[in-house]
Amino acid sequence: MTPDTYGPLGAASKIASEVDSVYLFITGIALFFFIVTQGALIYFAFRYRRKKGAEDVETPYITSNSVLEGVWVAIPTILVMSIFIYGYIVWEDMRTPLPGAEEIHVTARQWLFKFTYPDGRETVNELRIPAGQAVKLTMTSEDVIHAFFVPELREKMDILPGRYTYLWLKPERIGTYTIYCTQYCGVGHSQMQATLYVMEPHEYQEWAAKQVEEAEKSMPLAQRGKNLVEQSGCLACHSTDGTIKVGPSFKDLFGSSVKLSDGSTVTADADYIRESILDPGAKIVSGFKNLMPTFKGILKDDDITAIIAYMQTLSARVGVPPAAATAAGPAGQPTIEKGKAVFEGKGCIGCHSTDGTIKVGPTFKGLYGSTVTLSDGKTVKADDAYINESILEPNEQVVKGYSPVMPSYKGTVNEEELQSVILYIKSLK
Amino acid sequence: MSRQQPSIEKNYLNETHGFWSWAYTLDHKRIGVMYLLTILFFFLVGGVLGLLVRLELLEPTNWLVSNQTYNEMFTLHGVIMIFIFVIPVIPSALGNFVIPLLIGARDVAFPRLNIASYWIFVSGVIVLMVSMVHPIDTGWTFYTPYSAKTATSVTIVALGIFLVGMSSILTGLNFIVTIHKLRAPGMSWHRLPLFIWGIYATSIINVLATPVVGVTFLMLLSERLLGFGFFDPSKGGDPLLFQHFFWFYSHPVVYVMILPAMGIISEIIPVFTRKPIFGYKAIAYSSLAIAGAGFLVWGHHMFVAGMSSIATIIFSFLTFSVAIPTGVKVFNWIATMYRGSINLDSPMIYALTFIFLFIIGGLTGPFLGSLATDVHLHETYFLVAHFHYTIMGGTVMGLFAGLHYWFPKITGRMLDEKTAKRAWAFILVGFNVTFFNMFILGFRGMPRRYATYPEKFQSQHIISTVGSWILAAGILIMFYNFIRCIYKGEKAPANPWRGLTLEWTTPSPPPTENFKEIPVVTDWPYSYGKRKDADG
Repeated sequence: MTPDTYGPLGAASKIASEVDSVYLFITGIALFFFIVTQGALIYFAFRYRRKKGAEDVETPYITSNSVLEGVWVAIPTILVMSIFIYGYIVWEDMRTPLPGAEEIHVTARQWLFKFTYPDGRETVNELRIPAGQAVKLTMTSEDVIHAFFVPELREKMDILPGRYTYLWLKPERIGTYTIYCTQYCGVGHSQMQATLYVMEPHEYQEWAAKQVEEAEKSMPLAQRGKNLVEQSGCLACHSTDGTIKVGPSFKDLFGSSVKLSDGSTVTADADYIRESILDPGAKIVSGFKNLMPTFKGILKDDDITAIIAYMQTLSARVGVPPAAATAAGPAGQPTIEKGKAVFEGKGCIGCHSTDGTIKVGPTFKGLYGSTVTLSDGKTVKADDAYINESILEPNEQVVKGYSPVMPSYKGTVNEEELQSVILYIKSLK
Repeated sequence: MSRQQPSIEKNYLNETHGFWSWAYTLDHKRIGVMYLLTILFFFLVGGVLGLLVRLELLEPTNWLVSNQTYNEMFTLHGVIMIFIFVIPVIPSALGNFVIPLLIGARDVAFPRLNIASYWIFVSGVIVLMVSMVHPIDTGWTFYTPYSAKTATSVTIVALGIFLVGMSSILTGLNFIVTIHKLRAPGMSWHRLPLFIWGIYATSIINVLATPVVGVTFLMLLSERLLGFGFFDPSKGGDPLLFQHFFWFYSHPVVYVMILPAMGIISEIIPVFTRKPIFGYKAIAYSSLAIAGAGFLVWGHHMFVAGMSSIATIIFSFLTFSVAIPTGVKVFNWIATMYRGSINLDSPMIYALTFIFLFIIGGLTGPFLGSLATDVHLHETYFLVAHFHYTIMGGTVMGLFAGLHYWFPKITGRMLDEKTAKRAWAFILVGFNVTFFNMFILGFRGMPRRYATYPEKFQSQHIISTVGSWILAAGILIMFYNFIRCIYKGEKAPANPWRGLTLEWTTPSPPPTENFKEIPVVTDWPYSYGKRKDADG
């Protein structure tokens, strides 16, 4: 994994260095023909140029030479076929993913790349791969044809709507590389770039863990609870559909009256469930055995809260809609975090930067409160009302120097998401 | 080798006068001149667009124009250069003028069809210009689904190209019949000048391939106007289908561009070296081989498009097969120069420049034909460089060679040699500075069709832009020379280059009926040098 392992041309993987060998092979053959043909062309042009007064010099009558012509058909044929075969052999490797390659889904749209990892993590315009890990990218597009190109990996593939194409990579040189869209896709084409981070494996693990944590934070609580129930092994003994297994079913459990083995009855409220998870032997349900191990130290307080929220959704006794319980803020409350999620998820990021870079649309950095010059020469202050209108009716007031290409988001974002985005833009000073 | 004096007063230029005598003319020479003027005008328009594209790329950010305007500029540069300039220029303009003269005929087989083709061409061009109201931004390749979705005037452009294509088909048909039926007595197929072989192969491609692109554009129109879903995956269509259709035409069309230019080179080299062309039959039949095999390699434009692996491998193999007949031609031209008496006047230096640049264009082809390396180079500046070396270094240099070679015949005046060589020096230097640089830029990963780009590429973009100015200066000097010499050039003799083809046996400029008497051909047209034995 030393930086120079893969040759002087900047290849960042073993396959890329094999491609470079094909380059050198073709270059050698091309140079041979270049020297022979250009050499003869220039040499003849000087050697046999007509001197003044030699207009009627006699020239030989040569019309063909079958030996020479045979040679210059045979040698090029052999050489170009060898180029074909060599290029084909290396290409076979490029198209055959290593077994066990981790599959990452790539969704392209005008003008961004979205990457979805096997554990559900999602990133926009940012692909991270631990060095030496083989990954297979399964790619599709939501609108027009795009492409995925990393020069240092010598890899490229078009991304089409309505079908999947794939590419596999095993980057080995740690570093930061640009991913370019190379299939012309409209006004934002040249700004449709993403970054590939090839990371030290342990750094990648840390990053992935942090991502998972953050993803969970922003996940609806009940959804997180469901994940925990699945991951912690609860389902081995408890069903969610009413089937009796080793332990009681979770279906309709929350809020019900539970008959215990000592004959008493309790209501399955939050405290009861909490106790059952942390100290399972304290209250045994009638007809079941005391088999369950404690989850004390395994599930944290907020995990238990999430599991309770999930159990609520399984119970007919409490009509708690699962989507209402979100961790990033009470339902209906716009927040900056939600705004950022909408910014990435709904594709704003494809055209608007947050760091001052000019892309297809104006940057969001420092936008709020600034004075904007419109295409008709008028100026307007970028306040809540202006941003609100720009999202719902983008072509009403187009900023000078930009094309009116933004679609209306009316009906695509709800009021909460809209206000969250405005909050997020406000935060980008 | 007769040296006639330009004694005949009446010629095709002065026999009749006035706008209508040109607009309704049936004379292939006048039609050729009208094509030439129309097409060269659009060459300059396309050139200015190319210069603007290069100018914008001086800076990594939009310093001159917006993304949208940049996208429209490179699209129009491509559409104008390909459909209005490179495809028709040699066959329709020079071909129209010289084919009947070269084969010893009084005109083409269907003069009325010929003038109709010209006006269909002009109407197509006018339709294309109407689209400027809302210029298209699809690139000259019109890939769906983008071209089906964009709000720009794809519909109008598609109609314009449809008309221009129809003109190509009719002209191709006319030439095929002319070459079959109107050759002078004694001119057997193996006594046919090689330019005619090139035009013949080109015409076959035009007649067979152009209808396909016509149908493709009709399908695109029905998708845009009637909501059909040929190429729309959400309606069960396939965007790759469009690419297959498009390249089934547009790959053979690169041979439409290059074969006539190769024909010009094959005419000029023997005249200026005083040697018979080496390997006549190999050159003649390789034109037909290229025309045939050219229909089987369209898929090499789609190696990373999502085509099946088997198809990809077969297309790569066939692509390498096409390289052989092309290489053979280059070897033959160089071999013709061996032990010649080489006159380095302007037609010859442009012909040599063609060979020099075309070799570079040709030798960079295997990098794109080879699967492993194409994956990296596809859609980068390497492709842009390769294309310009073959088409501008090839076809356009061949055109310039032909223009310098036949200028005396067309206008009756000689060009100023000194100015011609000065222009050539600028063009050679400017071209290589602009485009050689792009091979390296492409290898480094610079994608094409980018209005903005990462800063690490800037120094090389500056080199290319400066090169484009040198190139433009050379072309301006060349046009200045053309215009000045129409009025002030020396009077041209019938045969200034001592050529043996039939156009040099008639005065410059030729009379309307071309020849006083139809010539009788007794030998092939490359009988230069001293024969050892009697048979030819």
